Amino acid sequence: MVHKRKETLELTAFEKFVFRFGTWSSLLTLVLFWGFPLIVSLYFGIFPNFSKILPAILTFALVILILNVTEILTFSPTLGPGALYMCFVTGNTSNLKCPCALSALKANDIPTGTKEAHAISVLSIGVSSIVTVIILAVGAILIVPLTPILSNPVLKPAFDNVMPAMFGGLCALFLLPSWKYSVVPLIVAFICVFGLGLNAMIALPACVAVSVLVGRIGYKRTLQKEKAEPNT
Amino acid sequence: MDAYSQMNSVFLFLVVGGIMAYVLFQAFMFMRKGWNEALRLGIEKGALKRIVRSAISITIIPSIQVLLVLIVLVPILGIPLPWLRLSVIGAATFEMMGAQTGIVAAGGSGLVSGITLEQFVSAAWVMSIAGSVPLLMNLFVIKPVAMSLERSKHADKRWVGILSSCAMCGLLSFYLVDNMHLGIVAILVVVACLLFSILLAVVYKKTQKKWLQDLMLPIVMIFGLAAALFITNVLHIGA
Repeated sequence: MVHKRKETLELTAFEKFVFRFGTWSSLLTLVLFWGFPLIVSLYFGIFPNFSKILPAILTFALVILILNVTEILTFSPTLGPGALYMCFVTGNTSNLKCPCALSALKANDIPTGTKEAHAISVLSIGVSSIVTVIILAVGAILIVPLTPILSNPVLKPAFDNVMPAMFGGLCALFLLPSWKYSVVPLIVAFICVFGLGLNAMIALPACVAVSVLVGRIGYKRTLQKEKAEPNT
Repeated sequence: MDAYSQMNSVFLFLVVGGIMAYVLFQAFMFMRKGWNEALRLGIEKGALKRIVRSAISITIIPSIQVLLVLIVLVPILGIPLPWLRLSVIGAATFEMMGAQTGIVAAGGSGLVSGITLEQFVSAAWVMSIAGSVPLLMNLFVIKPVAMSLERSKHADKRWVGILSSCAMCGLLSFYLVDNMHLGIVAILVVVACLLFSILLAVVYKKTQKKWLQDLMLPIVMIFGLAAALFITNVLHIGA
């Protein structure tokens, strides 16, 4: 019997840092995160009724889990693990961090999934994470004077359409040039969202899965063609 | 001291401030390593500086949406808790839902001001524990998936490249359509931004101005906001 050994990969110093620092810093963040409500409870001398909040926690956790798994499978080949470690600590992955990294790659003609892409993604998402934390800190301090501006009914349509504006731009940057891969997932997205009214928990993995399936079928056909016509 | 004042106690600000400082340190360490690795791989310093500027400008506009959620949550939960949750791991929609669920589980009616300390503590637990799932991903999932992909790349680099593009197309397709589902104004803004991006791409092709390529997405987003205002306030569509 021949046992197939798992190929041992040689990691670069950067990759070793990403995994080591990413894991340990995330562990510390987790301790701080779980510690925060405990500190709040100890400070106020009040503990919640865990039997009442546990179902809510589990429900939310399941929704977030499905979205996170989809994001890992989507972004890991594109942006690399370093970007993901940071995204999952500071949040707003798909609507802020990912567009930031994608825009940086596009502007510098760096193909996704390469070592350069991973390094650039880590850099741009690191910057974005720092800027987000600072903006929110300033926002928290200036909450009183900022509230009338951000709540202004005349400006409200603009703030309500930040995401449509962003994804309209990303569509032009990524979906149009890759229209062969984009047509089918777009149709699936329309069916899921407009036709069936499915939420992100189901529709997002469905669109990604269909897109990957179509890509796989196309790739297999290309390989068969190349095999049949090796000299062309 | 009333409940709301206690939610804004100096102690909580110090705790949250400490966690923020740690998150900033983590991001800075990654950023520095990414910069050095990019240099090592042959990317020019000038390009990296442009990437930093571009990342700053792209981050500002979407952060406004997060600030809007902060404005909603602060009158209810005080400043420290929403500030923490929206800065760390936070996804704006989930934080509002998490807060609501926690308050209701403790006998409250939802996201209204005047909640009790018990309801505040309940919200803090729900938002923190449920919201920590991504950190578990960091600990147990990211590395095995990344290593598996790296092995696949050695076996079939072409397929991993196609997989990456397909996965991204699937994700962007969903979010594009999901955002169009917000209404007629959103659909018009998407179309307007799409056309404007194409126009900018043509201008860039002719002029080869690097700053235009670097700042294309933030420029399109600002155009989108202006388009939304024009569509709603001038054309009175969806108003």
